[in-house]
Amino acid sequence: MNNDTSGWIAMVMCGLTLLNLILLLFSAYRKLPAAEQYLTGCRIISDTKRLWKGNGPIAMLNRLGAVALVFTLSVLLEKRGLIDRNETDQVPLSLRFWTAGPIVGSCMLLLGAVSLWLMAKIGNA
Amino acid sequence: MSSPHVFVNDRPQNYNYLRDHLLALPVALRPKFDQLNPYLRNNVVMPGEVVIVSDGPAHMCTPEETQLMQLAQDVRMSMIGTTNSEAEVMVQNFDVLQSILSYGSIGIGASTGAWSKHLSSVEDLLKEIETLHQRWRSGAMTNDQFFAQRRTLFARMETQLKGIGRVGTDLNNRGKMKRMLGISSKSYLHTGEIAGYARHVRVVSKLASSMSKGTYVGIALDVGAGALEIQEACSVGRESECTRAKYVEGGKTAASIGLATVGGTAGAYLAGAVCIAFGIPTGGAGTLACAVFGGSLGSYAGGMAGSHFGEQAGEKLFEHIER
Repeated sequence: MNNDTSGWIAMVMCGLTLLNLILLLFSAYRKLPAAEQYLTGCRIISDTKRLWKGNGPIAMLNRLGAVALVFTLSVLLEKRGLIDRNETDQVPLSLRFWTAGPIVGSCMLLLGAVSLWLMAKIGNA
Repeated sequence: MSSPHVFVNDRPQNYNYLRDHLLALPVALRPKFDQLNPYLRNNVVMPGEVVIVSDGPAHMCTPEETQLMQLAQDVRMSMIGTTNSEAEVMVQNFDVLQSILSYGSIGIGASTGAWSKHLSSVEDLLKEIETLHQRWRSGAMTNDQFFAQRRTLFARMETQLKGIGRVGTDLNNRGKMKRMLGISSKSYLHTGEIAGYARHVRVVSKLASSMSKGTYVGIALDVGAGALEIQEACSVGRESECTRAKYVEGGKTAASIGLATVGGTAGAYLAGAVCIAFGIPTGGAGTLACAVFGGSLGSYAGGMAGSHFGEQAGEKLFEHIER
């Protein structure tokens, strides 16, 4: 990969990071409280809320991660008795998208960034 | 003229004693020291605070000195509300955290933040036990009620302290919970206090509080380190080198903090998913260990990758805008 291409890739990665951060914070502060109200009977949510009290960004992002787990791994969580499926089914689709989407996006971004960074390191070696 | 030096103070000490005896600065250099450390002057210098020493002329500050003063002020601001003892614990543990810190300050927040929450919940439980003893002693509850409630609290405490959950609580594995806490109903009736309880609460709350401050100190130092790189390039290099450093170092710092935040969030989520898939129950030290491990690994990897991409993006921006 030449310098010009890797420079553009880096620009895109930085842009995506900024976009993802904005989405994460928007979801954490605007969408998370509504989602948590729907899931008051889910043990995984109440456990996480008890651990991460307050409104600081780190606490809110960790709680957003727990809500995203409920929406993305609902079958497994139901088997373990950690969620009430009746409650999760009541959550509107748009709210599920807004809470789980940025977290899934951040996972993809992290995996992509680390893969590209490792490829660049191997290429330089 | 030699360049200024900085060090991190490791214990509470009087400003004048530090200047005149520990550093043993000659009288001629003291005005310069006072000028470089205006926020510390005539105060007690707290552990964790950055102290600047220089033998340059007293009537002016070099750009590097100004930069260091800004860094010292940032660190000081990020430590507002920290007590001496908390800051001391943080400084003593800083070397362990430093390798993570240099790649992404948020990593500190993701890992120690989670641990400090755990320690806070242990502290809450200790306080509940103390309150229960006080209520029983004042005759507000029967013996049966007291022993039943205490059993419940001890069971909760034992869950919190399983495995690695004990780390940092100052409670060693010495058999029964009563022995661990130094509780004896007999001695309590005589002395009116739980032996060792106050000490445990002090240690736990000190650790929890100082750990949660780690993120902000880490960010202040990260930003300060980037600013120093820029300052160095601007003082020794050509103008173009200075401008280039602003783009590259600025990009590195911003992208590493940004991607470390994203990585920490993603890491905690992915680790949570893996732990649930493997049947580790939620609550207690097991889940916390998952979050700590996943969050720190994610933020560390994100911080490293972010630093790389930020540097390259900075170079690219510099080429397009300045050339």
